[in-house]
Amino acid sequence: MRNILLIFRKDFLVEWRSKQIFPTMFVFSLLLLLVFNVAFEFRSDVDSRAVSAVIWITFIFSGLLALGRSFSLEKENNAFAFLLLTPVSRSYIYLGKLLSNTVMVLLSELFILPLFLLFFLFDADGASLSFTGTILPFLGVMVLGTIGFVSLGTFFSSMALNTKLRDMMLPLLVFPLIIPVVITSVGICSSILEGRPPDYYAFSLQVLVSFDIIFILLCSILFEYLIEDSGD
Amino acid sequence: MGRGAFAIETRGLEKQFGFFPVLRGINLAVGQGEFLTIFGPNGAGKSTLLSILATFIKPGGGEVFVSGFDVSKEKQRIRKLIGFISHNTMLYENLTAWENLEFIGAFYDVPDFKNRCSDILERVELYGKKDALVSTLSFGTRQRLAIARTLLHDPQILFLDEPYSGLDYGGAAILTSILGSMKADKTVVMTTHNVYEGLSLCDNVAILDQGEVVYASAQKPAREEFQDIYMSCVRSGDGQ
Repeated sequence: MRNILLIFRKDFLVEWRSKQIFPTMFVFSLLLLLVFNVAFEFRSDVDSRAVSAVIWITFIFSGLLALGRSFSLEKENNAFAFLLLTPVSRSYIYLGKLLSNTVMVLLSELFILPLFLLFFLFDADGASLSFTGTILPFLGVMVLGTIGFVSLGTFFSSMALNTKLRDMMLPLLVFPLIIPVVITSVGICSSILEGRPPDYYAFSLQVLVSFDIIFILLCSILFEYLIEDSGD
Repeated sequence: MGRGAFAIETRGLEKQFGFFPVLRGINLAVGQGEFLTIFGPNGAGKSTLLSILATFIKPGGGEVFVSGFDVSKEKQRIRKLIGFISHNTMLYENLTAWENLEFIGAFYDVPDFKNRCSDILERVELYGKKDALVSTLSFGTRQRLAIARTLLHDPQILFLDEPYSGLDYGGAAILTSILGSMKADKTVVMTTHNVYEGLSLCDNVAILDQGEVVYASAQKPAREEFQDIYMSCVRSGDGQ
């Protein structure tokens, strides 16, 4: 656990000083939401499924920006190669990167969420936007869905690190595999926004948790094989 | 501590990238506490050889032992025993000198860690710059910091890949002084183009060309003699 936290702390220090990932993600998310808002003619009565899709598209596109950049920072000066020389387990390196990427993406999502609520869900009546009934479950799904796509994104961004078409490769590798996470997250968010009771989406929630566990376990095991020759 | 008669031993080591063979049946043996300098033209396979010894990349064939441990099966054990200095500093630019040492050093069990960091920074004459961001340091200063970071856990075996590359006179003198002071108790394998530095420090010499050891000697030849040997051994067109 100590090694995971060391990598997490280092990533945060680097990001705090370079300010490369967070502002980019925030501005990109904001622009996406504005484009969608214009496309939906500034209406607040858009279908809940469409609204859920909008927020997840925003999260995933901006999240992929962060994931690509996260390993690019490691590639500068080949610092990642030196990390691989240390006796720390490759699984811990993956879990450390996963933790820092997840927290960074979640922080960006937390900043963008109020704007999303304002653009798409703000209703003068405010009837369907209770904190415990809508916002809290929504935040829970946001965390679970983010863990799901960041776990795969972290894995594949390290894979794309040594490819010439790094920026193009990452979306190509990640998008097909995160489809189950995205569909499940969109479905649950849609149910929450429709005001359905938790029992209605409990099974989908279990599926989402299962995806997270499977992805994290599989990626942390396979990470060692993935970066075997990366020092070259 | 490691095991085995040699600190480093390769038997028929091979490596190829795609269809291109880089190392062809390398046989090397470096005893405990010996200093081997490997010379060779660009593309001879020197860096690939060091990368395999340092567990960066897998060998393609043959057997490789570092401190008696198999590089294919016992990587973690080897990583605790080795240090690697390259012409590429491999430092985090947005961390300070101290933070770089602290981050990497934390993965090793270094006793009295903070004092060790201070001592090692003083040794490379960088203690005054411990709070400076790496991005603000000159290349030579970064290279000295990279040396400090490598020595932090007091590795038994050092791999040096063109360590003098880009170093100014002061930096080169510090590196030579550190390497000279460690000669007695550490095993060192260095690749370099610098004949003067390479020969002045080593016990053994090898020349690598087109992935093969074309010359190896347990005795250090004189500089003028070595230049003749080098020119006669190296078949590649870009020999120094």
